[in-house]
Amino acid sequence: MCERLSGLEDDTDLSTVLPATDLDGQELSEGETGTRMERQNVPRVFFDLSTSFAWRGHTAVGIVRTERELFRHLIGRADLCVIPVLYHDDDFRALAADAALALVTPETNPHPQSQAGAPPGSPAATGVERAFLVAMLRPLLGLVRRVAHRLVVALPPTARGDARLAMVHARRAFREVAYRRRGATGGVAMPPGTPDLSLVVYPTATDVLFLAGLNWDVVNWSRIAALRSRTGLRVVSVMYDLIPMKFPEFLPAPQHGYHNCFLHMIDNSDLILCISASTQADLATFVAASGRKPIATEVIHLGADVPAVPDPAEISVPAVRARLARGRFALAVGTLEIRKNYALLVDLWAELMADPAFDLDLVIVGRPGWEADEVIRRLRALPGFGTRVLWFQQLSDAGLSWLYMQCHLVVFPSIYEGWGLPVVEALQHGRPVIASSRGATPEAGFGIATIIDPEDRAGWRTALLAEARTPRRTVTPAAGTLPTWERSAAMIAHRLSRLAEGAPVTS
Amino acid sequence: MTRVAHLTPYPTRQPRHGGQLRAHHTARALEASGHTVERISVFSAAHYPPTDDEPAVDLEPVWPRMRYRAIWQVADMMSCELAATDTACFAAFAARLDAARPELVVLEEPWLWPALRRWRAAHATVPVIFNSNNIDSRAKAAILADAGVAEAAQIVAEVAALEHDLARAAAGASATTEEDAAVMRGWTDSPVVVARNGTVLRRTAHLFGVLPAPLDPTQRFVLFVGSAHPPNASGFLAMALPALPVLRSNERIVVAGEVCNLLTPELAAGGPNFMVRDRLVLLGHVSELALDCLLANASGILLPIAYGGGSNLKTAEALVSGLPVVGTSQAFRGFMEFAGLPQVARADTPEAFAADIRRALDDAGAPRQVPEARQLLWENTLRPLVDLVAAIAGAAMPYGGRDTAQRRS
Repeated sequence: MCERLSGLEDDTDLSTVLPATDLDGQELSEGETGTRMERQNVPRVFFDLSTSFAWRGHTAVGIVRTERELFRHLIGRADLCVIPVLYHDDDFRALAADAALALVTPETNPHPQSQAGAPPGSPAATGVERAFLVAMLRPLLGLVRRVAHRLVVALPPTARGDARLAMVHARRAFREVAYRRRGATGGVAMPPGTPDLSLVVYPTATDVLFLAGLNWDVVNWSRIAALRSRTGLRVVSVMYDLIPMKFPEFLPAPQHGYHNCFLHMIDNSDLILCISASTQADLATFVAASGRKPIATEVIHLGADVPAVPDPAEISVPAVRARLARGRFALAVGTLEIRKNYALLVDLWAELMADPAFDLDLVIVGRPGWEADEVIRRLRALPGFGTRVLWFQQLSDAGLSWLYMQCHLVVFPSIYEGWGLPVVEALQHGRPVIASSRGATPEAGFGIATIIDPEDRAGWRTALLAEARTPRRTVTPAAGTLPTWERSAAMIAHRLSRLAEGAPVTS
Repeated sequence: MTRVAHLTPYPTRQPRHGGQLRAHHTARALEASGHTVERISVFSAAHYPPTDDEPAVDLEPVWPRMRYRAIWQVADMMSCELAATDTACFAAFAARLDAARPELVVLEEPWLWPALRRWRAAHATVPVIFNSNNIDSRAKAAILADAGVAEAAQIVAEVAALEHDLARAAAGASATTEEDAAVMRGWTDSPVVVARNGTVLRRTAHLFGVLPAPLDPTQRFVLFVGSAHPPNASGFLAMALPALPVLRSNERIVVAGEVCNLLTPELAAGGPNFMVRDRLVLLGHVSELALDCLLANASGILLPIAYGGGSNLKTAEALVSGLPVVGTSQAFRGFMEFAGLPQVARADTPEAFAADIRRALDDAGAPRQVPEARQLLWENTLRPLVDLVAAIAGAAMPYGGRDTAQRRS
């Protein structure tokens, strides 16, 4: 463990939380005065939190939550030296442990919950803004250079040297202003709560950079490539899915941002951790199709233990809360977008609710996503919308956990997934699940969920009716079956520490 | 155990400068010994960042009424005086002390003594321990002389009277050096212990190659960390600044801490200086993490202290770091037994200082093992003070007199 422990609380310092050790963590021993200590032999993992920074104050989507949870579980480990970093102004910047923990702890966030998006001044935004400024200025600077050259040539030969020198100084002064690094204290108006970004990380060949966030959005892969090439830094990244490549029709065009990022990932990652065997297979296909040699990959199932105490406080209407507390509803969790196949659920409930004997309500938790207008329109048009069909666009982990606890079953008819987090979360809560047979979803069902093809409407109808007629039941996966964040983090820590210690990369 | 009121003229929850650090660790050491410590700080909220419970008494509203307002070097003494002389301030001060129901008061520095003395008029049985940082009459005399203050003699006399009165009234006192303790023993028959300044162990090896801008790993540097205590600035200007010419193009002297606020105008007054521009980096206040990064990457630590009393807290930190240390003899007050360590160089002329800086930079310095460092941890350096509190508390009358004692029995 090597994080800056003194920052964890205002009244803590190293003298009390650490044993009396020397700078390398060895016990101080008598009679060794003057013995030199190694200065650069600490295997380090730089954990990038740029996604958590860009999404601070916003409801966490799956990848943001994954980054947060992995960091919270890796930062305190005794077997790994984790240094939190942010990508900012073309460099990775080290963060204090307390600032990093504040970023990954939603409760401490100063911003109210609102819709997602990279706020102005976030790493991505400032990088783009600066690149744009430089690109705009470049032609103008060329013109200035040409004029200056002609001016110098026009001067008497004896004055040319002084004039050139004066211009060199002028250029330097201009560059100081135009290209000055803009950290937290550099004059750029950063959002409130911005941590100290003045500490630039200069990695070495023994270091590992771990990227588990929205890597197409918050980091500059070209810069990472240069850093890796120059320093020997090793890179481990997390691949969540290849859906933009495999099913471009499920996402808004163009897809070249994802394509570009995925190519950078396979070109610059020493190891890619895939969140399912299905994603690993998709990645292998993509690598081959991209003309690259096979790369080192490994499957790491993500934890699904929701870090919250179930709490219905956000469901403010007493009648709605009372109805949900009966436990007679099917729960569907995930963004409302075509790929999630909510249309199937809308159709089925339209049909099933016509039967007075069918008393199972439908509760959907998810924000509206791309091309969701039609399914939202149909959802709102359902006869029982607002009473028997409920849609929560945004709920905290505590609220979601309460719904998992109360529901009769969880339904997940997605057409394709890189994993299937709601399936695992449902099983963690002991709820039965009917899930899709496509992508990684069956893998997330761990042999416990009922698996049905998402296009088999009759099969879904039959299974739903059967569950509706069955008294409320609890599924109890065998101990150790379901992944936890602690276990996921332990596996990742093992892999990262071996890499940081110089072990060869193998699949 | 004992209910202790801990009076400070600055915040201590998030300490920055030496006095704050000593007070912070004093409170923690007393708590670790089982005492209940009520932190009561009195300062202007405009001068330190306030926290939830600090300041207990805000001096900002009365700041304009301070005596010798133009002489910032004595603002600590003159502002704290208002806690005794201003009716509202004293009422707030007394209310906090009354609420704390202390069985013993530990007073950091002498400046709040007038207010505490007034409160004790009605609470004479509550013993006071004076936790001094140095002989302030001597320190202020040097600072005021350095600044050319005309009223110096009069002010120093007031400081001396305050110190003497407090030392006589205190049930015990602590000093940071044997020399200071000897002076204080001349003022009082009460016990005076030596609890020298200490430090914490910092783990910094993992921060090699993490640097605050504008530094980068191609540059080697020696580090000076100091607060806005005037001897820090004058010592740096006299001893370290003349060493800039011995630095090569990729070498720097880096200064961190509020001492930069004093150095900046001094350097600006000298006009453009290319030597300063290319070889000196003033970072100003830095975070704890940034300080760790600096220590992890520095080639040596400078302690250019020219004068002053007490012991320099940064000296303990430098010694524990295992890095080469270049310091004046003054800087090793209270730590003289460490001055012979292999990584330590004492230099009392600018020329010798520059030569030792050169050696530190040439040393390609990975830090050295310093097993003796354990003696310099706060938990060890403050032990005599903790023992003194225990001894005096054991003999003291509890707050509220006999009634309290009877209720307990």
